[in-house]
Amino acid sequence: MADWVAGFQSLLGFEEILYLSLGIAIGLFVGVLPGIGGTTALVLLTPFTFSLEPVQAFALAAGIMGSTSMGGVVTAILLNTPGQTANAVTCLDGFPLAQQGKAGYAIGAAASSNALGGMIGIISLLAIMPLAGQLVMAFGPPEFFLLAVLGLVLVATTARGRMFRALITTAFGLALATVGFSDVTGQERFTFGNEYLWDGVHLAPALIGLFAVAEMVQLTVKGGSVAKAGAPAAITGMFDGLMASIRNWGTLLRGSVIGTVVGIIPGIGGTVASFLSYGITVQSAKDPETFGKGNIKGIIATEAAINAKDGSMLIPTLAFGIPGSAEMAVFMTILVLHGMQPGPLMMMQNQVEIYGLIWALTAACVISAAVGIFLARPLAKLTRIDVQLLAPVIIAVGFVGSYAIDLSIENVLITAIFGVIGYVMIKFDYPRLPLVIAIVLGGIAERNFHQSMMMSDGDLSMFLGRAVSVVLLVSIALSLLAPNLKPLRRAAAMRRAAGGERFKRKIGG
Amino acid sequence: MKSLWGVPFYRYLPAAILLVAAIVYFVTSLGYNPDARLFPLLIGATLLALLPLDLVAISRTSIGDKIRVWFNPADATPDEKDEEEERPLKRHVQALLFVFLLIALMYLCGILAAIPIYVASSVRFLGGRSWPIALIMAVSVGLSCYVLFTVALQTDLYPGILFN
Repeated sequence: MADWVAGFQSLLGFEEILYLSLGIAIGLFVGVLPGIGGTTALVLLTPFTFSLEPVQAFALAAGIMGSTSMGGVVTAILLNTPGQTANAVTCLDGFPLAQQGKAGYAIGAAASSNALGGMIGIISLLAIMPLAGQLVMAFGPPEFFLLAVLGLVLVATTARGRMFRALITTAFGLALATVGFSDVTGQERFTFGNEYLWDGVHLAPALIGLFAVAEMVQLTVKGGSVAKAGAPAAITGMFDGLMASIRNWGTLLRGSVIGTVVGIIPGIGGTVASFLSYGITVQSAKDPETFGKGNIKGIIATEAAINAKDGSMLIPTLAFGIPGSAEMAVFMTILVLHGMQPGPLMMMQNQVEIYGLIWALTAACVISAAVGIFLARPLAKLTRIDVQLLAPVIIAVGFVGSYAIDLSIENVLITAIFGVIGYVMIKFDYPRLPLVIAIVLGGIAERNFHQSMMMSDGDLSMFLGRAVSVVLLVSIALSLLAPNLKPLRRAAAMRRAAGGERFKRKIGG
Repeated sequence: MKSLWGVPFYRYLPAAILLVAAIVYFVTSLGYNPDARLFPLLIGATLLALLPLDLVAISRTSIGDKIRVWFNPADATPDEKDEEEERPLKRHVQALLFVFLLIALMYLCGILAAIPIYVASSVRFLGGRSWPIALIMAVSVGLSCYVLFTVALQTDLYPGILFN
């Protein structure tokens, strides 16, 4: 308790507040820019943190980590362009709401679920901390493989009415994930002699192409503005949006729990958290057909999960020295720069700094949501701008952002190629999201599948001999069957009703 | 427009191109060592199974209808397509050509020179705005990119092969 208070007090200095505010401002700013994520911002600022006190450095890092998601929400809802990979799911219901003139409602809901989800994640972090070890140890390669498969299946089944094509794009994404050096054998695959492809298909440039460029090209072809003609111009319903996450507290809580659990598992990340949360929310909803057309629960579930994972992601990083994501890997570098070695020893020796970090992350979640709401009105006006003026700006900034990720002109080419692929997918009705998630999860799935096979000498039955594996297998089976069960039941009910009618006619006749 | 099994020919193109790519992918993966090719072969085989079915599912035939219903749960009606009229092919090609113009300019003249040229030409010719608006937009976006990336983020933007 004393450490908790001391951690809070350590943040109250002028400079600490200044660096936290700076981190939040940077996080919101880079979050809005498609392709430049929190990881890039952290990497760029790492050398700068060396001259700061540890708590100041943590305040800066926490500010960035806790606010990028909120920045990404704004572009995801207003422009259908996710600022962060994880925000891609927010587009599904956020953009349709913006098109209906309900951008304020969507941003309000996203902000409140972002803040509340973040806080629930941090409370979970404090509660789970003592049990973290056992939980992480329960996940071996077979569980990681099955978790990746579950993520893929959920994504495919949430593409309602296009499940077949979602499976195709998932397989296409998995194929793209095999490009580059094999993690298992070190062999170069599908690079055709191109050095740039050694590291595989670079995700960030591909995402900018698939979402930002493809969407802007489509808008250019259509003309008009992002918001559909006839939609009310005023940004109203912000307060309703804020309250929506409280009214839908079940969705909020479920999203936060999913985000927390996924965050604990290293290497999975916010994208899976958001997809899982969205998929489960759609599958458990009474009105699944409304998702993807502007259902506020889709935004609440996604945003709560994204921010909840930020807190829990610290568990493997701080307790075991296992970074849960690229962002956490960079953050670990900052810890080491300040003489702290993440692991069990740090948990005992640096309690004040850890609690200071947790407080900073909490503050970042809440402040960035408030600032996001404050900025939403002017930013929402973006949807009223003629796309012929807006699209060239987004396309240009997207391409420069793609280059700036690692100063590679090949990134620009990848963005262009994926821009064309994305545009063709829009025009021919192939869902794009399964492609992205498959690229993200492909490497994880392959690596863990091989490790599982090595553990069991190629015996597939090992997946049935582990409790967590069995739970995951059952979840996969249910996810595949669930979308088909409802129509089957409905068809059976219709058959029964038709049979009854025939019977009545027979008796009447 | 030529049609095949009740559907315009061009509707089959993406699946057909993807099928060719899947064949190349499958054949290429056969050349890798057994551990490295296991996953690609599984993926390739899946694509080779799914894509012909997709080609049939596109068609307006009884088998195509069955595949569509079987693989897409009956309660899930496809997302409502945009009811807006389909734009002429020329418009799609123009929009994509401008993106390629940007890439070519970036590669040749560098990023900072390419952006104003792209923005000005896009606003003027695709957007149909006047030259003054196009030029104001071009200068604003070019300057913003310079301040953001070169000054604030200290990023050395690509100078282009002509000026490198």
